[in-house]
Formats: sequence, C-alpha cells, structure tokens
Amino acid sequence: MNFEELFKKAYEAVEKGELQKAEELYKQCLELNPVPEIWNNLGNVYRRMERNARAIECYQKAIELSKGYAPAYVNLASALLNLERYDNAKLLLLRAIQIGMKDQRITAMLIVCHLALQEFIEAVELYTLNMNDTTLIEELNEYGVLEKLESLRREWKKP
Amino acid sequence: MKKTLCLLVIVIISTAIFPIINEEQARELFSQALSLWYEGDVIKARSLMDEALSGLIYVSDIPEFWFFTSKIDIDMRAVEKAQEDLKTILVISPGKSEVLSVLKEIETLQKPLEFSTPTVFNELITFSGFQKGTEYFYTPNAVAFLGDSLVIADRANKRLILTREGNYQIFKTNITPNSLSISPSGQLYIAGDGKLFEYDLENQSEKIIYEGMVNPILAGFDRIGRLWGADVDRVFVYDGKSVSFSYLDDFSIINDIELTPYGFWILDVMKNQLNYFDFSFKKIKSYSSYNAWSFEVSIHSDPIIITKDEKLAVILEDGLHEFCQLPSGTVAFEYLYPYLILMNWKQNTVSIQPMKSQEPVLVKIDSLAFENDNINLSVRVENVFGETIPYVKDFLEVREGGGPVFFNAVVTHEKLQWLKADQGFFEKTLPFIKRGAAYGILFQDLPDNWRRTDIVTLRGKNAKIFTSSPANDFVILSGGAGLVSSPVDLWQIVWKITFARRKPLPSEITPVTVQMRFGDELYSDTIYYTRGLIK
Repeated sequence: MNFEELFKKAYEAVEKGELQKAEELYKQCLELNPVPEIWNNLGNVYRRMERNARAIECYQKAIELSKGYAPAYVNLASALLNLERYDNAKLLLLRAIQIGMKDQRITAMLIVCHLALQEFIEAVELYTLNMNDTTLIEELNEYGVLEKLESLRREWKKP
Repeated sequence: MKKTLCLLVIVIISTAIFPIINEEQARELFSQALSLWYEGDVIKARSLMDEALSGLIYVSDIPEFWFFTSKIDIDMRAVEKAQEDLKTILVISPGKSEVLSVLKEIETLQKPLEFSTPTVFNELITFSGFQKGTEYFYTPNAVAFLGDSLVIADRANKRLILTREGNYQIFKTNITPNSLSISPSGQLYIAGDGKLFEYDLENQSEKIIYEGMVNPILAGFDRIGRLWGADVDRVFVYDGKSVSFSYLDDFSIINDIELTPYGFWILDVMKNQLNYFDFSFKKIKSYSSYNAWSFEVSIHSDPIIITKDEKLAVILEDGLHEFCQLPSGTVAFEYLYPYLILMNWKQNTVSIQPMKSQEPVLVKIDSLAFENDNINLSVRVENVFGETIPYVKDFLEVREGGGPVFFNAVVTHEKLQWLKADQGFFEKTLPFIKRGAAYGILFQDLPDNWRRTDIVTLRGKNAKIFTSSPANDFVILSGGAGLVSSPVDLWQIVWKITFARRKPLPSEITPVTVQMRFGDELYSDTIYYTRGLIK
C-alpha cells in the first residue's frame, strides 16, 4: 500500500473505533512519510486509547517537524489540560493563537486554564468578549465552568 | 701590596663611573618608572626599576618596589617571574592584601576552574515592601542591578521600584513586568504581556522593541551585547536592531532561561529537564530539573534551584547538592554574582545575601590621575571570568598611604576600543597596551603563541580576546567571547573613584589601594603616586 492508501485506511479505522489497527497504520504511514499531520493523528489515537504520555510524545514530534503546525499545539494543550497542567496548557494555547489558529474550543480551554490558575480577570475578560458565541458556551458548559464564570462576571459588574 | 692597591684603584674608578644608587635616587627612579608605566612605556619603566633595585632602597620601600616591579613584569608577560617575586614580598611583608590578591588571581587563572560549593554569607540588606505606611511592592518577581541601585519589578502593581541608599522611587509601567535585564551600557529592558520593552528611567518612557510573543522571559546580555530570552518553545536574541527567534531541535516548554559564558541553560517544564546548549544551539547536556519552576546558574555554570523544602541546591552530574536553607515564603530568587537575591511574598521583602565560592574577585585600578587637589581612579571589579560585578559601592574601601579615605564612586560606561589582531599580537602588542581603557581584539582564529599566563596580563590591561571560532577557556577567562563575526560596539562598567589628596604628602611613594571585602575575604589592588608625579 502506498502512503495515501495507508492514511485513508487509518482514518477509516479511527472512525470505526479500531484504534489498535489505526495505530499500526499510522506507524506505517510514518515510515513512508513522517509528516506532522500523521504524528498529530497518531497522538489523537493514543489519547482515545487513554495513553496520554504516548500522545504527548506524538504531538511534540509533530511540533518538532513543523513549528507552525497549530493543531499539534492545541492537541498537546488539551492533553495537558486533562492532566491538570494548566500553566503549560495555557502557554501552548496562546502559542496556537499566535500562529493563527482561531477556534472557540481554544478560547474555552484558555478560559478553563485562567480559572484554574486563579487568573480571574483574564478569564472573565475573555468570556465577556466571546459570550455570544454558542459553541463557546457549550464548550464551557461541558467543562463545568459556566456557572462560575457567570457569577464572577456578575461580581465584576457590581461596582 | 701592589695587587691590593690595584684592586682599590679599580673599585674607586668603578664607583666613580658607576656610582651606587642611594635610597633617594632609587625613589627618584621609581617615580620616573611610575610615570613611564602610566604612559604605557613598560620597557623603559622596567629598565629604570632594574636600575633602582640594583642600589640601596629604604627597607620600608622594599615591598612597594617589588610589587610595582611585579606589576610591570605581569604587563610584559613575565607572569611566572612576577609570581616568584610576589611570594618573596610575602616573606618580608606577610599578609599584604594586594600581593595576596594578585597571587590568588595568578594561581586561579593558570589552571581550569574547579568547582567548590558556594557559601551564603549573612544578609547584606533587606528591602521591605512597606515603608512608612506606603506600599512600594507587593509581589516582587524580578530584580536587576543598575549601578549602585537595585530595580525591583512588582507584577501585581505593574511597577518598578528603584532602591538607592535606602530610598525608594516608583516607576509605573503599562505592562506587567515579568522579567528584567540591564545592558552593559545601562539600559533597562522589561519583558511582560508578550512584549519586550526598553524602559527609560530618566524620562519614565517605554519603547516597544517587540510585541506578539506569548510569555517572554529574559536571560540577560551575552558578552557581545545581545539580549537573550525565551518565549514558550523558542529562544530569541535581540542584537540592538531586531529580534530573531530560533527553535531548539527538541520541543520544549521553556519556563526559564539563563546564560553562561559558553552557552545557555533552559528549563523545560514539559519534560522536567534542564538542558544546556552552546551558542550554536548544539545541546551539550541534560539534567533532571527536580520539578523546579525557575533556576539560576552558579559561577561554574551549574544550575541552582529552590527545592520543595525551600533549600538552595546546585545540580551537578551526580545529582542534587543542597547547600542552604532559605527563609520560609521565598517564592523567587535571582543570582547576580556574587549576590543571592531572595524575593519573599510572605514577609513582603527582597533581601540581598552575598554568595560565592572560593574563586577570587579581581579588583583592578586601571588609572590614577590628578585633578586639582583630587585624585581620580578608574576601577574595575570583576569576577574570575572577567564579568563586571555590580553593586559594589558599599563593599569598596579606598586607602591612601595606608589610611582610609572618604571617596565618591560613580558608575561610568567605558566603550571598548578594538585593536588590530595579528599573529604577533601576544609578543609585540600585548606588553605595550596602555592601561586605562577597555580593549577588544578579534581574531579569526586564535594564534598558537598564547600562554595560559597571558590571561593575567590581559586581565590587568583590560584587554578581551574575541574569536570568530567557538570560544575556549583562554578567550572566556580574558572576558571575551567566541563566534564573533565582526567588531561591535561594546560597553563596560568602570567605577570612577574620586577623593581629596592628603596633604602633606603621606610619604614619598604613596600607595593608593582599592579593596573589596566579602566576609573574611579581602581583594585589592594598589598603585602609587609620588611627589615627582604630582609635579
């Protein structure tokens, strides 16, 4: 199989939830063409397998291959967020934004990091600026921080 | 009988032709030699001292004659000879501090520097965030020395506090000052809020150097005047014109960065590692960071961290070596050799404690000049690697004719003069470089005819060696650097010390000593003036 065929099959395996097969196929892809996208996808497979350390390694490899490959920064930040390494996750998210990545998922993660790091002013400012976006609200709701943000915002408005 | 008469005649004739120099004549020769030495004519100065030493010398003058001759010998690259003579002086005059200082310098610079555990001395000064009911700082997070002042950054209050002789001065900043650095020419740089600023304390104005970073952290200035720092996963360098970024081969989240004379350390909080790179970004070594979130480097270029138990520890190849318990509440620290600066949020203080190992401090009087009834001295205080030691004013003592004097000391910035580098530099040029200025010599490749002892001569004359190739110990110990492509504008801190000349003249040959005291350690240099020189 050539690279394109392997990639297609790996993608399909992920869709079907055949994660071990996807892992093997992505590894074969890497042997043929070690591009950041494949490392990133392999990282995503490991995350679904709850193998966080391996996932982090893969995202790092993706960034090492292309310093401007923003999805790897976001995925790495997301993995670190799950591990409650908020300070590192925050830096990576800011870096992804700097590279040009625009996504309310990133904003939501950034707000979560600010809250965890007790940077309430930054969290509320970012929330207030984007609170009309339904995707952001859904994301924040999923993280379970929406109520806290609303109460902080109300406190903030009082004076 | 005839033979005896003949001999007597010969003695009388030779005494008439070559009269024995008496004590006063020897002093006159010393004075002439001193004048020539100040002018840079070391050969004539040495010849006059030879003549002076061949005759009679007052017993009290002997140490001064020998010390001065040794200084000339060091200037002329005869360091080993000077070393022997200096040891002899100690037999006559044991404990003479300037002699001990030069001997320790020669012994240290002649061999590779050996690691020794630093000693933390008693607290020198503590700055409190609250003074007379006023809050000056609340979250001190970065500090830097500016001449005889300490600049404290207060992140929460977005301000800088300049402390000088017990007084505080507040400077408001528009950004959160996370990191500070001061250039050798005295400019203050601040990093924070994704930006790099130059801050003018005189006009209280900020100039943006670069914006659009995520989390810039400053490491400091290298030996060719470039400001180094890091921003998340990349290292940046500001050369005075533009900021350039470089990525390291391995992905890292850089939480701190520090410079050494040979390269830089980064703290990778992603992998909990401290990684050391040379200036060509080649990774040299990697240590565990022991979960530190910031670090400093020792004079030996080893990382120093605060452990979970609030202890200071140096990280070496064989692991962690704790050496000092810190006061509770110390959240951040800086090590600006030889000062350990502790930032305590619990007590809301910033305190300075000297911290050094056994390596000497070099005090060098580069020039002595008369101005009306005053004497002006140019003085350098450097670490063993030829880097200026800041904040020394309170440690300095000046003695004239053996007695202490009141003096005024101000920081000046001396611009480096570039000298021609050729194959004959060490033999033909170095001995004749005139004292009193700062010099740089840039070699494409260092010629083979240098000697390790030349470092002593170079340091005495304030001449730094630079090369286009990577630096070796010789280059670094001279105060220079490697990987330099062309001469650049470089500045050096020099103290201008002024004091009123004592009248009447304390002695025909008056020693002027500048000394620096650290605990039990005393480092000094002595030069002289004479009645003839005043005239």
